[in-house]
Amino acid sequence: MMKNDSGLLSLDFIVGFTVFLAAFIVVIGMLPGVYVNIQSSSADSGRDMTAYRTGVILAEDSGISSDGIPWEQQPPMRPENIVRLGLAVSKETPNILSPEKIERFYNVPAYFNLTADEYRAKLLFGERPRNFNISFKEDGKETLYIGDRVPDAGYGFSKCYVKVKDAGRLVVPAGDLTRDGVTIELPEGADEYIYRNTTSFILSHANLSDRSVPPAYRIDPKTERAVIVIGGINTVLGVQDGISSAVIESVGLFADGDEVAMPQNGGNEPYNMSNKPYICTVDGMPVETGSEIHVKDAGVLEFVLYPNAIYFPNSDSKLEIRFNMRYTCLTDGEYRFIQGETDYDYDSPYLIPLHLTDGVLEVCIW
Amino acid sequence: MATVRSKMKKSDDNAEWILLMGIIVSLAIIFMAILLNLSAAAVQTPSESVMEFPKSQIRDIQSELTDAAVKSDSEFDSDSESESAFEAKLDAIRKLAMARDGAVVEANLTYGRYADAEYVYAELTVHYNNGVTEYDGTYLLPKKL
Amino acid sequence: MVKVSKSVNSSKPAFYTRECGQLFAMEGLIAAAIMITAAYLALGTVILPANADMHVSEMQLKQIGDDLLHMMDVPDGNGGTGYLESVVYNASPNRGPVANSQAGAAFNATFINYLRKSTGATINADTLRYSAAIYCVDDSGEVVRLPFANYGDNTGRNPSVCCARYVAANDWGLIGQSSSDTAVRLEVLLWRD
Repeated sequence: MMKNDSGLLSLDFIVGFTVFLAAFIVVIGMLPGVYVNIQSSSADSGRDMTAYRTGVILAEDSGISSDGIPWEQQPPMRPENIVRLGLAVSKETPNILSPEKIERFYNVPAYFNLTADEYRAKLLFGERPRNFNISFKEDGKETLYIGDRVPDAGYGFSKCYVKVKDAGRLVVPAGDLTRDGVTIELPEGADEYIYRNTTSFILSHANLSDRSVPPAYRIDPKTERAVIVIGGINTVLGVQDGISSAVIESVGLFADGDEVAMPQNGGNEPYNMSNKPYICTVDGMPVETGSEIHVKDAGVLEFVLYPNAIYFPNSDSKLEIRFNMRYTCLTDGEYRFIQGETDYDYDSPYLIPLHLTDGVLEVCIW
Repeated sequence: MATVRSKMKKSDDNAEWILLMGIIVSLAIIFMAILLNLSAAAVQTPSESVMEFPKSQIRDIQSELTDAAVKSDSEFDSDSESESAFEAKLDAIRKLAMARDGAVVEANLTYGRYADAEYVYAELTVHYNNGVTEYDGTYLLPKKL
Repeated sequence: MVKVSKSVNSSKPAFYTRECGQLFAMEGLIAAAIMITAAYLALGTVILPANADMHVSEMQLKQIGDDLLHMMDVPDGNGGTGYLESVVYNASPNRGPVANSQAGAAFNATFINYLRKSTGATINADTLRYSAAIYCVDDSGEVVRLPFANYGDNTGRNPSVCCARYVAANDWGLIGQSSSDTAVRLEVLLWRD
C-alpha cells in the first residue's frame, strides 16, 4: 500500500521500529559481559587461592589415609592409601610440623617416590592441572623442594611460617650407666675372658602418650623416632686398660617381654620407615645396621630408633631396647662395665625437653 | 466528506492499545532483566571471605585461655584463687576484643568437670561473636591424676 | 459506472486498508520481546561482572602477619613461655623506659628477621614494613594504646592489614597504676612498600 514515495512512514511503523532498535541495543550491550567472564576463569585469583589453600592444608592438617594408619607410615608400595597429604603434627597444633612427615613428603630419603600427578591428586585438588613448587626451609638446614622451577612472574604465592618439632632425646652420661665392682677372674690357662651383659632402655607407651602434655611437646613412640645418646663411654671403658675391647654385639627389641623381629628392608610387611629399623652412629660415623658396634673408645654413641606400630601392640605396652654387650678382659681385677636399665619417660632427668625450630614453607602455583 | 474522514480516524485508533501494551511488556522485561543482572553482581571474592573469617582470632583466644587455665590450675591450690587469676585475663581479653575488634568474647571454666581412669578434665567453653561470625567451642583440658 | 465503483470503494471498511502499519509495529514489538527474553535466558547465568580479586595481596599479608605472631607466641617447651611473652614483660611501663626501649629493639630485630625469612625458591624482595602497638586495659577499664616498635613509615598510600595477638602479661602495670597478671593485645600493621 506504500505507493507514495514521499518518504513518510506510518506512525505505527516508526514506533515499532524504535522499540525494536532500543531492545537490540540493550542486547548488544550485554555482549561484552560474556567475554570478560570467560577470561576471568583463568585469572590470577585462581592461582593465588590454590596456593593459599595448599599452604593451609600442608601447615595445618596432618593428612588422611584410608586405613587409619598415619600416611607417612604406609608401605612404599601402596601410596594409593594416602587420601590427603599434610605435614602438621596433629589437628590441634596448626603450624607445628612433624619431621617424619616432612621427610616423607619431600622424599628425602627416597621412600614413596610420588609422581607430580599424585601430588596434584593428593594435595592440590583442582579442576585444571597446575604446575607447582613447594619449598621448605628449616633454620640451619638446607632448602627442600618438590616441583618445577618457579617462573619469574605470573605465579600464585603463599608463605607460611611454621615450627618443626624436634625428636625427643635421652642423653645419658656413661658414668651414670655403670655397674661397679665386677670381679673378673681369668680361668686357668686363658689369656682373656669374655664377659657379657645387657644395657636396656625402656619406653613406656602409657607414660609417653600422656595427654596432659600438649601434642607439640609429646613424644609419640608409635609415630616418631626415639633418640638415645650415651656420652663419654671412653671415660668409663677406655681408661680401663684391662679391657681390650668392648662391643655391642646386637640390638634386641622386646615388646612386653617378647622379642620383636627386626623389620626388614623394603617390602610390604611389616610397615617400615626409612629402610632400616634403627641407625647407630659412633662419634658421628654411622655403623652398618646389624654389625657389631665398637664402643670402647667411643666418645658419643647415638642410637636412633624409627617408629613402628609393632613395637607397641597395646596402649600400655613397654618396649625394651636391649644392647647385648661383650667385653674382653685380659687380666683379673675389678672392672666397671656399662650396664643398666633406664626409663625413657618425661620424668627422666636425662630427657632433653623437646623444643621447636623455626621454618618457612612457600607454595608457588602457576 | 468530512464525516467519512472522521470515521476513518476513529477506527484507526484500535492499534494504540496493542502498541501500548506491547511497549509496557517489553519495558517490563527489560527492567527485570537489568534488575536481575545487577543483583547477581554482588559477589564476594574468595580472598574477601578468607579475610572475613576470624580464624586466627578464635584460635588465639582459645589458646590463651587454655594456657591461662592450665597455668592457674597448677600454681594455685584452691579453686577460688585460680579462678580469679583466670578471670583477670579473661576480663582484659573481653575488654580488648570489644574495643579493638568489636567482638564479644565470653568464656567459662570449670575445674574437675569429668574424670576417668587416668585423667581429670577441666572444661572450657569459649564464645566469640564479631557480628559476622559466631563461634562456640568446648574444650576438655586433661590433667594426669 | 464510475459512480458505482466509487461507492463500492468507499463502502469497504476503512480500517482494512489504513492499518497495515500495525503489522510492522506488532512485528517490531514481538521481535524485541523475543530477542530480549532469548538473550537474557541464554546469557543469564553468565552475566556476572568479573571482579579482579583486589584483595589477594591483603589476604597474603594478613596470613603472613597472623602466622608470624602465632609462631612468636608458641612456647618453646612444655609449660614454657613464648618469645612474645618475655618481650611484653619487658615492655610493661612499670619496668622503666630503658627496659621498654630494649624490648622494642629486640622485638624489632626478631620481627624483621622473620619477615625476611625465605626458602630461596622465589626472589624475595624486602618490601614488608610494619608498625606495632600494645593495647592494654588500665585500672579504670579504659583501653590504652602504647606505641611499641616499627620499621618504615606508612604515608597512607599503601593499604595495610592489621594482625593482632593476645599475649599473657605478668606483672603488667602502667605508670602510676597497680600491676597485675593480665593479658594485653599486640597489634601489628603490615604493609608493602
